[in-house]
Amino acid sequence: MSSLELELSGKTGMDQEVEQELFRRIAILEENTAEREKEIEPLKKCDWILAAVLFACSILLVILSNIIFY
Amino acid sequence: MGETNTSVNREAIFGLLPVLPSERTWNFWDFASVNVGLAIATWCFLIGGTMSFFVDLKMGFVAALAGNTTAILIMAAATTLPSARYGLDQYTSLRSVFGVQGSKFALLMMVFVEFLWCAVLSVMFGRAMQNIYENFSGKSGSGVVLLIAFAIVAILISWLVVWKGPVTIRIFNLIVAPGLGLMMLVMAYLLVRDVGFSGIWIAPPLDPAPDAWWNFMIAFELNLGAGFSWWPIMGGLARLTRGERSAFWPNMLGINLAAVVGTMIGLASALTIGTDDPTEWMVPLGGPVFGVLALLFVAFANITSIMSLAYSTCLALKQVRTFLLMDWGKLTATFFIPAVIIVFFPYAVYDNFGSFLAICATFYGPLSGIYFVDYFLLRRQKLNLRHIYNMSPASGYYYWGGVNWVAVASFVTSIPVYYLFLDPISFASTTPFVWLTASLPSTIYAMVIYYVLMKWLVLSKNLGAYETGSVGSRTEKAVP
Repeated sequence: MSSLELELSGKTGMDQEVEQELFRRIAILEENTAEREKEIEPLKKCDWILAAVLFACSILLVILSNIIFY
Repeated sequence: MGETNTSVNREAIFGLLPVLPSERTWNFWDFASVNVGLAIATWCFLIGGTMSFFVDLKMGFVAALAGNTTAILIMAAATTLPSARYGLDQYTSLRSVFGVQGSKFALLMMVFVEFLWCAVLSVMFGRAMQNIYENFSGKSGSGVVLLIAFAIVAILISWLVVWKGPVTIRIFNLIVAPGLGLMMLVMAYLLVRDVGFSGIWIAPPLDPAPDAWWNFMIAFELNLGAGFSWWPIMGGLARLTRGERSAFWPNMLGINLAAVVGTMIGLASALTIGTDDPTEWMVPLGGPVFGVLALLFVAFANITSIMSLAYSTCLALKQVRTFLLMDWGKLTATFFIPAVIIVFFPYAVYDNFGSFLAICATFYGPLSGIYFVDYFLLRRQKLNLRHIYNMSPASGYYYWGGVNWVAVASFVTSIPVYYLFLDPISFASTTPFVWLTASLPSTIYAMVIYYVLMKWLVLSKNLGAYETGSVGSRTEKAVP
């Protein structure tokens, strides 16, 4: 029995069949972290910068509206 | 064996198991079309109609764009990114925040709200179809029975599609979403053609308060609430995307920009024609054939929204053991039963939409904030799948009796903070509201108090498995 099964077996609240599938999936995800990161690419720095800029622009839009229109 | 694998593979899609990278079915444009299909529904027009009492088109556009962008950036970062990275349903990954049992607290609250959303959308579908029927038959005042019947048809169609799973939802949205986009442009064209752009542009708000800036902040607050109210469902959808960019940025196209366009159409029509309901003006302005086609698309816009909402919610219900063991078809049917009951009171649903939206804002903002702080600031985007699925006291996410009471307390105390600024039912406000809104202070409060209390009461006691690389018994297997 793998350490994963030792750690989780009977503790997930799932049926045995589903639990075995869960163990298989967790093992795949833990073993292939580098592969997974290539497949499920995280957001890059430019994405975060763009998100921050959009957030700031939204707040600025409200402030400018007050100055210009009210 | 093959049949067993098939059923278990289906369970992975329909259930609580992490979706493997090879199983992700939605690319950027797939999720964008699902997003657009979700965003464009009669609720956009209703929000626009509510705003028409407070602001004109120009300020309505600013309020809608700024409010939705601000809220959706926080909400989408908090919900879609963890789900995309780990392939987890949102309520499963929430076990890292609220505890392995405490996540059910967020679930319970959310499910009740989603019943109501399904009912609201079904009633709106019913109204659209009722208007089509009355235009074709020449009979007005067809009565509530027909409306209810059509609302139940909406639920039935939605159930049939959701039962088949996310592939069917994706296909349905790929067909309907472009049509919705086109329909929005046509609606805008009809309004401009018949009312004139200058007429729309200068049309004053219908019943504004004396303080013009207060009116604007109310409109901004409504859109913050609308943006945060997507919290319950986006994570469950994002787990099927192929990357974090595919999970995050489509929200800006769909539930942000597309929703803003829909809101503007509702606002413009309410300001100039006197109703935000396109089912009442599409046929008079567009003619019988075109008007009816447009109405059908609007009606089905509600169906696409119900589908995505129901899929995400039913996935979340798998947290509860009774539903975990239930067949997907039965589970989805069970979910729709309360909505069927609620649609028998269609006017109670429809007439209280504005208050319903405002109340949603009181708690989805803080929930987004708490989730954001936990995942990005405290966990540095690292979740431990073993702890997530371990429901025993040995789990790093067990906290106290399975519940992170700090998260619960942070959330519960943030709700009265909202009321310090604005009463979401009466719109009575205090002075700070006109500069700060109500959603933003309550969200920021939740974020700050959660961060401080977690550092003081949880991390200092080595609870919650927050140590970098710590995964219980295997310290080298932190799953980034």
